[in-house]
Amino acid sequence: MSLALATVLGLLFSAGTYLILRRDAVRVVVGSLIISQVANIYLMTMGGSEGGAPILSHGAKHDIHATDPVPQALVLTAIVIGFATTAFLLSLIYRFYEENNKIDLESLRGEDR
Amino acid sequence: MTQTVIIPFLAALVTAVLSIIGRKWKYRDQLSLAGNILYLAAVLLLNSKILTEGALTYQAGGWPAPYGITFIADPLAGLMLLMTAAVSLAVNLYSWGYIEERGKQAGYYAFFYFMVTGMTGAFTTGDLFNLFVMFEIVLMSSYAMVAYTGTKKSLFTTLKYVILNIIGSSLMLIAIGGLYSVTGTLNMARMAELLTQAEVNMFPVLGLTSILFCVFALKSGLVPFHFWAPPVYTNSPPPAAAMMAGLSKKVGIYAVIRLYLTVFSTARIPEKAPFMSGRPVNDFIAVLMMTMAVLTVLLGGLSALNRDRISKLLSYSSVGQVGFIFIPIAIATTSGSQAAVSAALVYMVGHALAKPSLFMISGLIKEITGTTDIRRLGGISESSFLISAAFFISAFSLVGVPPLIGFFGKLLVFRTAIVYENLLVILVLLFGAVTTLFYMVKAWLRIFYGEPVEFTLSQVTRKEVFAVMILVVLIVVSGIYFEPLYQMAEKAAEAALNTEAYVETVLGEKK
Repeated sequence: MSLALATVLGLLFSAGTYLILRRDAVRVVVGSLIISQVANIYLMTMGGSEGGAPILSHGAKHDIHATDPVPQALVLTAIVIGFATTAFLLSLIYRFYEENNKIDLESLRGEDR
Repeated sequence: MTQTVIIPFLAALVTAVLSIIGRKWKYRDQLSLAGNILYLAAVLLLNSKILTEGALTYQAGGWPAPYGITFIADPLAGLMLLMTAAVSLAVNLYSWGYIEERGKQAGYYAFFYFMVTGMTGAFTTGDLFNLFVMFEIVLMSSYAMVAYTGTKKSLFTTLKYVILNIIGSSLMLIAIGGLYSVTGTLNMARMAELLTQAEVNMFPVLGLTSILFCVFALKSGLVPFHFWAPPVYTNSPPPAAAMMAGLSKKVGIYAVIRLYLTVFSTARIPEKAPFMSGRPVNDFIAVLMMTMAVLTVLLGGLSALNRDRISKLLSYSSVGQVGFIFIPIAIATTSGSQAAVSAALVYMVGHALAKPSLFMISGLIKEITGTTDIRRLGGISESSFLISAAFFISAFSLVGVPPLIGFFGKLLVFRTAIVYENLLVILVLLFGAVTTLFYMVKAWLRIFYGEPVEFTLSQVTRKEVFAVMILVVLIVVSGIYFEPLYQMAEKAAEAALNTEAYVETVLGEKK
């Protein structure tokens, strides 16, 4: 299970990195979103991917360990932050397109100087 | 009353929320200024409490540490809050005059206060994940502030800034999640306690703390992560640049001081490691930090020399100055020297006063003359004495001329480098100091002396000039009456280095 998750995380990270290095601004945005979501999945795996539901699986009748609930709470917070950043980034990209009429980042090199 | 710890945080948060609701209200400027004065009062109250009772903690929701989120205000946090309150008050007053109606209606003050809220939270939190959340609050508001003008340039800058920081935040999450997985806690004090124990696997700790350091280096703009800073500062409105260069950069520096000097200082590289085995993790981090800081001083100083726009010059200068703050921190990371930390803190306060003042003056010059291009400016000292005096004092505080605060910062940093007998570092510092002198004198001569240029625009309000004056007076007064600030910095440095006292303050009630 951990090996599978580690592979998936690695693949997603490389996909995100690949997209961030593109010329097309929309792809760059998608790449950054993938990276921020992969960080969340990674955070989930840090709590252990096996085990029972927290609290419910406690007690004498059950012999399985409960999963650590804290990373899940952390991920919820991180998702909300990621959501807000995504909303901002997408509206920014729209304004960016309105202003420049293109989303090719390579042709804008040095425009911010 | 332990609630005193979160009063500054609440004051900023309430003002931020009221600023959203009342963004079209007639008295919103007065409201935001009142909020800032309230914030300053809360910070002063907290500081007086820290002075009499020592470090204070507040356990959110009554959950005892290490289970809940702890807020802790020790002398280090107190000093940082005082700096934030003073500078943000001046910038707030300046914004009143500078930001136009449209911007205020769009909620400029709300972003301003969310930034202050995030910084206050970051300075007082005792929880690693909470620190991440506070960083995000500061970043979110800074995104809006950079995109504020809505020009092509500022949108392009914002796009790059946001994407860079998304990557940075993801790395921060990875480091924090990993540290949680290794130690089993997010509470900084509990983590410091656990890192002394043998059962914690130190290999991941070494890697994760290094990743975390890179994130903070990105936030505070150390070479090779400095490249975002100059376009961001240049393309945002001067008050926003003042906030970011003066204060929000310092959040990254504070996090490095707090985490590496207080929390991770107990971690050791395992004996089985191929290099530096058995030595503190901090010895490894210090090598990274020193290399980056030295490069920052060199690169920041060199790139500021040949700039034609004031805002550009100031941006590169603020890159270089961060190196000056990190060199003593790097020395303290290996040696645990209290004098080195207090040198870094004094320098940081000096920079936090001078740089916003200079950014705000560059905004005034833009308003008076319509340009910030040094080649097209000249002779301003003849028409506006006050502004040129303010620029002179702020610039020469940055250069390090006595009796201004910047002089003591430079003096202490040099003393630290000399005490630790590192010739290379002394030479780099000298080089940095000379370049600072060179570009500041150049700017001063070009802008304020020579042939007076014809001014077409003039819309400087008294509020803006008064706001700059607040900072200038602070620069002079804290330089002349240096003793109280120095004592505060000494206390803060002591608190930063004393891991045991920190752990005891947070977890003490349990035993």
